Amino acid sequence: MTIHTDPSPVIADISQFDRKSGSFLEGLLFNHRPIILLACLLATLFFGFSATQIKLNASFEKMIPTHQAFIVNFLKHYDELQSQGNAVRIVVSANQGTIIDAHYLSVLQKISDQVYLLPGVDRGYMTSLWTPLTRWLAVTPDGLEGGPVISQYYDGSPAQLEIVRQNIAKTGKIGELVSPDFKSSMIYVPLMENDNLTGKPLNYGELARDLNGIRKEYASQGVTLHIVGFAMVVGDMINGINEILAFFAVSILIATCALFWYTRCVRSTLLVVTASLVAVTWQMGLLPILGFDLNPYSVLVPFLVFAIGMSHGAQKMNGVMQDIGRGTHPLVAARYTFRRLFLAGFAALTCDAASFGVLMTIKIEAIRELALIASMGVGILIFTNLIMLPMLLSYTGVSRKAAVRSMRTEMAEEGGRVSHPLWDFLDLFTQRRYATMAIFLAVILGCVGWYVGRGVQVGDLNQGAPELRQASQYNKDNAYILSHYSTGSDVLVVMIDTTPGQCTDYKTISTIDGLEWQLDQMHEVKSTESLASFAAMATMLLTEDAPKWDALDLTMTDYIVYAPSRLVNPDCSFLPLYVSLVDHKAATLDHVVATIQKFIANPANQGAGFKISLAGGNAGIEAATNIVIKQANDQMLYLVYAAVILFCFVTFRSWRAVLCAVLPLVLTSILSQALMVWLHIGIKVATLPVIALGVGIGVDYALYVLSICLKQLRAGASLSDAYHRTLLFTGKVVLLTGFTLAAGVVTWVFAPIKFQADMGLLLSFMFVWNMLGAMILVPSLAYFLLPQSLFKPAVESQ
Amino acid sequence: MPIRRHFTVILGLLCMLISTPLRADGQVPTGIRPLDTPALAAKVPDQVTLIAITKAGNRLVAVGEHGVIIYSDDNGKTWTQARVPVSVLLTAVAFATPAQGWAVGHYGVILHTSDAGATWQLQLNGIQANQLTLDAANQAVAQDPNSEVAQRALHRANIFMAAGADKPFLTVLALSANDAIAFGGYRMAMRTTDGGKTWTDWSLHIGDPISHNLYDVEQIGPYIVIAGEAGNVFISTDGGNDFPAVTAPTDATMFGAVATGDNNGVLVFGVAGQAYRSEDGGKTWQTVQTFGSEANLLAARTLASGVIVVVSEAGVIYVSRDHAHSFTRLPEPQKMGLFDLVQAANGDVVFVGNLGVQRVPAQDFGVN
Repeated sequence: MTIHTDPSPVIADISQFDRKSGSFLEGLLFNHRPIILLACLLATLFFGFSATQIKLNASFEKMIPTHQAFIVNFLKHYDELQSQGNAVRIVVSANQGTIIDAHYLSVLQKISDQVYLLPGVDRGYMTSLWTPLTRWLAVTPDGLEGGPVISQYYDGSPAQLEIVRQNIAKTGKIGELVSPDFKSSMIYVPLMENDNLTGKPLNYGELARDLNGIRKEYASQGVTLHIVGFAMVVGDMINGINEILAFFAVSILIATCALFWYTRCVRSTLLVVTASLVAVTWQMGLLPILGFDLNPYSVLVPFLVFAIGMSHGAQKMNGVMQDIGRGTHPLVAARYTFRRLFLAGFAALTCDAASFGVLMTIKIEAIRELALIASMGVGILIFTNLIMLPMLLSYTGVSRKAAVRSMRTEMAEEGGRVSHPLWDFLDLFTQRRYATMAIFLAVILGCVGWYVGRGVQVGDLNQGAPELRQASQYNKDNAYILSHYSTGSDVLVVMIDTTPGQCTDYKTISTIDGLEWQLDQMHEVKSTESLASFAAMATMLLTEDAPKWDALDLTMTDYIVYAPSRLVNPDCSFLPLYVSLVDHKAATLDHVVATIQKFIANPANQGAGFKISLAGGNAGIEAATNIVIKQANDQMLYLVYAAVILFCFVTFRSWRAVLCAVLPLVLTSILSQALMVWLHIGIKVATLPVIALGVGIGVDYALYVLSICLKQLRAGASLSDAYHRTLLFTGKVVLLTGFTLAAGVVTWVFAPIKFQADMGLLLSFMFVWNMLGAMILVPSLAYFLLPQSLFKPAVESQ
Repeated sequence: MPIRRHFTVILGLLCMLISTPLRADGQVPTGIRPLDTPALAAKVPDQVTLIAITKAGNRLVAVGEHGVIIYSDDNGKTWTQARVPVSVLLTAVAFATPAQGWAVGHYGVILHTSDAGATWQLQLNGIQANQLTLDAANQAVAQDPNSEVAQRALHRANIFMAAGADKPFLTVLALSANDAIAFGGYRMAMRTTDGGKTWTDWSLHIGDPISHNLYDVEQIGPYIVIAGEAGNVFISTDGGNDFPAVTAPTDATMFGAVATGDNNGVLVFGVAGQAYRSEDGGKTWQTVQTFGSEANLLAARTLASGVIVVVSEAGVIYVSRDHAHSFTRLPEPQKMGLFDLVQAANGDVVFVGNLGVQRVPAQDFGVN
């Protein structure tokens, strides 16, 4: 058995090479190298310029499954619930004394005014102690009366401060507007998706910078600001982009160094890295043209494209180097490599593109964009790393030293097999005993992984923002607000539609009262608010404030005029029930939503005059997103595997080979889910695509290993020999890229942003496991699925 | 004006009666949610709004919102929620013996317990109460068709019937295991002499030509005193048969009454910190002016030591050691509105209010 089963004779002199040999495509491409390379250069310049226009931003609406029933209901009432979606909460705490203090209140006024003017703030619904929406309500000898907490007569005098204190007590919003210890007060800042002045999308990075600026500005004035909300999470991530990029750079550097260590050739190492970076440049350039922004979550995608590019580029470069080492002319070497590996590479990359593409079936805009960006990226790699790179190598060749080094290996190869402890070890898995052991171990791992992975949860598993570290400013702020306020930052709104003008109908109100009380008795619920609880309170206030009347009345007409606008719309046809939750963990949302759904489903709680539906508020949106993600998670995996299986079948034309390639991937997917459980990472919009991307990376390795191996087997080699040759040709590069990429991304665990650290762990795990799967499980499975007897007739018939 | 709406409600109720089957406990569904829904288990039962508290032997029993009744056998340290068939706001609770007691509340609810407050049975609801009011009025008219009082009673009963089961009981007095009287909004009053098997309208025994809200009833020496809306005070001197009006000390609503502890003295108190004492069975009243607060005074009790404790909706506690001639304020107000109190067997004073239960050791009141 020799390498010359591969019909690629050593041709040192280019004049002896038949330019017309090879496929039509090869001819078309390689016979027009200058034009194609010029086109690539121009494209790189064009996209490079375009890439400078790229914007890093986020969008609250794009993170939402807008088709989901909860969200459809929510959007229907969006105007009435204007302030209940995307909002920032700012708690201003007094470092000394209480908030009933002239200095504190004047600082609060300045902060409030400054925040009011920030772009994107929905000014009409912003509330603080200073805004006119913040009103008190109390019983007086003349009936009910109300007014702003800080009146026009406020002058900072002790007498006026005492009035402010009394007014605050009369708002009934202690624990919501001010903390019960009177040491802090809340500014509630609803946001609009588009800047109210320019109409441009809200710039979250800028908003977070502005808010942090305000935080800093007033730190010296005796107050401390605690700021939470979606805008701050993504804003902090966007503003941490330089750190994210620095870690990318470290990973790229590690991969480059490892590649150089392997090749000892500056030229080819730089070419591989450059080709991958060119792909990223094209991809980045396409984004502004297509009108996409990069968001803090999809920012990982260009890096992944780079990583995938590296593994393909290294394969091409290795092929060219081996041929040059044998004495072949660089152009011929490049063409040989193209011949041998283009199809495998093409299949792998289209398979990647397709498996990323299926993410587009998930009806969440942010995931669709990410899927499109990723698919485009790997599509671009076909041009840059499968076509452009071999062409560049055909001009540059490789360094003499590297060629000699490669030739030494080649010489040894000519003598038969190369003895190397690693190759010998891997060769064991082509034997029955070790193959059985490997598969047995994989099955056990798979079972354990499946068992652990069943516990994977959708949504957030902890309080605060899991994207950021527990010790981050954001999560500290969140913990502060959670411990000082009864209204947390997680509000779910149950929406009740009534016949217009009939919102005070007894059956309706008493049903809401029943639901509100039931929810109040859940450990997941901090507090509730609705027209029902207001009605009970109003009945009491209108009956001389006697607590014995703190209940609904059969006929309620008088109080409605006193109801705050957030509890009833002007038509008297819509009543929101605000449910403030202890956190937004997936289990919390699940339980609360299930309780409400059960309540709605009970015929006793239904009536002709009203309809109860879920759900608004940020927690309602999150619950809806979780529901969609939960469905999407399984569906996505089915589709990704369907795509992978299809492409593998097209490539191998053998269901046995397909099994060999796909089963190791399945193990990686299962173990990845288990790892997510272990790392307390929930499946959400940001993390859902990672497992699909993992499958994409893995299939590359399997395809490179199996396609070469299969070729050898079909040529009549024993599995051991076929696998040995594969190891020397593509296998060692799979090993190399698997380890170096994993080593690169594992450094992310030190990243200040938890999301990147989590992704670093997950990705390095996937790089390593996919590589191990390809190197160990593929031959083990092949031992059973691709026995030599399968190929004998084919060899004999030749 | 609201009559048409009331008819709709009645019509709705009738439809409900026809179409809905009996509840598991044999009660006929009323179509009024809190009457038809048993009380839910509360997350922290001693932290819901509680309106009234009393003792059943050494057990403490408190009642409050959404049908919550809780009891404690360790002087208020730990509480258990009772089984209650309704989820209305309960406003008062009273025990005749350590085991036999009544709790009353909104929608004309009267509940009875025979096991010291662990489980409760519904004895009356607002629909039945309206019918009893109508029966009594019809009977009065039958006895003397020309009586203006009887005609007014019939007119009132008809309005009650039209309005539906909306009237609350606000207070209850347990005279014995068989004899109890409940009073409520719009002069609603019901009496039983057979332990609650049957109830009779008692509103015509109260000397009130208008239907005022009756907030509190207390036995003080030879008197049974009712404190009510707009300064109306009624005092029975015949064991609760007739409640003639006495001189009104004020036109402000009086939420409660308590014994001053000397000469059969009566203290009444209510809206905006107003309080008045009388030593002549309500003929004359003296203003007690030491409260210095605008907050409503909601409840009062006499401790074993003779100290009188009065509480306000603002959480302020006032004590008197001189038979309610003067009061002093405890320095630190409680962090919740105080609605009622009772002295536990160990001497601690247990308060209830909008945030649940709060215990204050007896020595804080300068006594042991």
